[in-house]
Amino acid sequence: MKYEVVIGLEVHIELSTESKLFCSCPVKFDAAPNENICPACAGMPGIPPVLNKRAVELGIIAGLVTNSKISSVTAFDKKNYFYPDLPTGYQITQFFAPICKDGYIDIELSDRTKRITLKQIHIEEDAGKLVHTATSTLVDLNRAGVPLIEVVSNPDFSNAEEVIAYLEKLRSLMTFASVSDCKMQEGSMRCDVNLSVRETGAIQLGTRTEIKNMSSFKSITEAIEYESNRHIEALETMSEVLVQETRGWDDDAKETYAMREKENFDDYRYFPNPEIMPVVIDSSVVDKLKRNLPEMAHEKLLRLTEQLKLPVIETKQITASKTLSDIFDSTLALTGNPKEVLNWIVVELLSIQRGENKSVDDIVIDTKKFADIIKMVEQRTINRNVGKKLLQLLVEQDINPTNYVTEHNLIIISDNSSVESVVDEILNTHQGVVSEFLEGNQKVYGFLVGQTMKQLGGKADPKVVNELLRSKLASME
Amino acid sequence: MNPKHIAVDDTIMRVNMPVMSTTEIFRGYLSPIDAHVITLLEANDYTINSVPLSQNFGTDLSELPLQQVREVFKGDISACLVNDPFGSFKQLATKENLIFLQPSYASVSRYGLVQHVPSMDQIGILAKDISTAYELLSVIQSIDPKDGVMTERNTVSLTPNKLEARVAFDASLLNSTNDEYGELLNSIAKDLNAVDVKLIYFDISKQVMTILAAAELSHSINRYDGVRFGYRSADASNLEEIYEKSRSESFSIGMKLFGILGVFVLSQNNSKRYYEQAMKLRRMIKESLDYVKYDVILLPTEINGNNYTNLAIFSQAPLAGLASLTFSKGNCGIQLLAKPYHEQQLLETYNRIISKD
Repeated sequence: MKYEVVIGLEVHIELSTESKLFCSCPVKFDAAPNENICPACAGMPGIPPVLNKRAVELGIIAGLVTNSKISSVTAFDKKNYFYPDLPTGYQITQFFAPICKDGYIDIELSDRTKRITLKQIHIEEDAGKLVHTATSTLVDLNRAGVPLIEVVSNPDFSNAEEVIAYLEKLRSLMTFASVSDCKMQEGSMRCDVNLSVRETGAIQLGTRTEIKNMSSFKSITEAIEYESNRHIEALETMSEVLVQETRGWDDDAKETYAMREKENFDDYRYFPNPEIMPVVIDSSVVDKLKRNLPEMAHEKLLRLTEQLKLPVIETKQITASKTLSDIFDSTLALTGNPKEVLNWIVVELLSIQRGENKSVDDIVIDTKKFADIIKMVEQRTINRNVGKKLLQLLVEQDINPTNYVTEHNLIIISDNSSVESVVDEILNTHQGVVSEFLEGNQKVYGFLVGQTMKQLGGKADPKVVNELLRSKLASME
Repeated sequence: MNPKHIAVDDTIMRVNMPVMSTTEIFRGYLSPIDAHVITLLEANDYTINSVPLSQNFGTDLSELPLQQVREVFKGDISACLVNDPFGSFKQLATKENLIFLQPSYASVSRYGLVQHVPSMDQIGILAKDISTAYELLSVIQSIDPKDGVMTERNTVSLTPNKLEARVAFDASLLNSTNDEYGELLNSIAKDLNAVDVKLIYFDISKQVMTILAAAELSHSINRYDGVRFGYRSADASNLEEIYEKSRSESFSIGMKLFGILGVFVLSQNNSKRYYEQAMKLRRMIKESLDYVKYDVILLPTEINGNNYTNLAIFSQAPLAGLASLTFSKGNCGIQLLAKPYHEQQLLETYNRIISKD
């Protein structure tokens, strides 16, 4: 018998606000436990919630970039959920009147484009975090009250490839619209996977399980594969009875495990939160936000490749990340040479990032200084190798490249006669190597270039060194 | 009596002071903040005593806090601020020759007021006389950005009206009062030239109030778990037991009943049947008040029955977010309701009633 997998996603995305959803506590990822809390977000009595207007704006923007309908009136509800990390015993969310409905996202697959439809996007507050020690469980409420959107898709996915393509596109849309930084490693983008399996062509969905809180593409792929196989095996062999439940993912064992039976929605005892006024969203507000939407990644790719004629593959590397894209834009604004900037980022900067085993989104660079390096190379004030070294130091130590060049005497040697005398000296010192070259061993040529550059402290123009070496070797033949 | 010396119920929080100290679950908890009204009162040189008036979120309707009220007004205290969603203090106002002025919903900041029934919570004024009540209202009503429900339109006008308020009275309610009281009320209505109206949802309002209050209260008390603050059972050996025993030992019977009822009316299959129907009725109650024909509604303060049946009288204002004034003239308890932010019409009507021999 043939089976098909049906998957729907609920993606939680932390909004890029300065403060929490209902109080003025700052939103910071790496604060000490319970540093960013106040009586309101710690669930103390007597403090009514005050809605963060920016969170609502970001919710609208999220709807706009996902082709959603923006509600003219949206409201907040209480969801009963008694758990130690939720200090009031309920979560403030949007159940009856979410901010956005009926959107869609087109995803690029290896062989086609597929449209994923969205049921809704709603705003809600995050819960705190439990920290388990050997002897106790501690509660950190820094995250309690942090604003999230939950993007709820319809069950339109059939496999992990589609899910990952969707999550990448969603991340791109949200980061380019500055709705969120979507850093999965920091938990600002998390995904619940709802999965069921049915016989191919059947109308009725199979028993659904939900895998909670997935925060890496690799785990999501593995979990979908594992869970699909578990369902299929259960259906084929009757080895277990599938039940509707919430499951977790064990990244070490590479398997899902049962957490609790899935609550149906009535158990949450939703009701409208009387402490927060319904929000009337005027169409003029939506229009204004729409007019000010920044360029999305796919739009940028089109512009850079068609208007600026940049190569597609390298440009895709830039537009795949909001961080890189921003570095490209601001560096380009200072240098005016898109090809050079693209080249420096894709070849040199990404090489440094890979060497440091960092995420692309963690690259921090002063683009003014980066532009200075590129300009110094372009103007032949320094050679490219010195530029690379400066870039490394800039990323690692935030040096001032212009001062560094002066202080360390790295200005290119523009006096050709000095270079020529060094070339003569190298040829004279390494006569054996010269003979090998003249006998046809081209490989040793690099050695002669290297020795010359070394003798010149790496500051010569490689082009000049090459020209002189080639010419002198030719005259010896 | 010192008009600048007032009491506040300790559900109105003050820094480092106990909160709802008569309710066991708050044992040992000291407020980290000052309520907004406290800040306003201190800025206006009031001397403030915190007093334990409210018990158990006002859920124990069988017994009114009579002795506590008498205790508060023994000395030179001129007024006391208290949240009264269930009308207990309004009933006492008529018995103790006091005034209860309930400002319109969201006209006084709830920042620092322990949540009971958030859609009806409102700091009210229990005062020895009417001028003290209105003077206090002018001090505590102020838009507060820390209460997200308040907006500029929630401003009470205290400028006297040039026109007399038009009064309405539902004479059919007298069928539920004793004869003597009914006659007194009827004569007041006549003196006021009251138009006859029928409050068509009056009889169902106490059920509506109970369902909605229970639903909201069940969420409001969810945070009291014995873990982070307040009472914790000494007899608990794990987290589940902390929850269970701390609540069992510290929640009153009223809190437990309201909590269970709230869970019931919001739970599977019941939400549509009870909570949603109650919400619809609440809207209908609000919409049935026809302020085109009248400005103020005259109501009794007691009908035959008990404190629970009286909830029908005192639920009208919180359900519809109205301003109300409760007082007595002689032995006759009177409640006046005005549309939101028209507290001055209550005062004008009060003056007419009191000045009439």
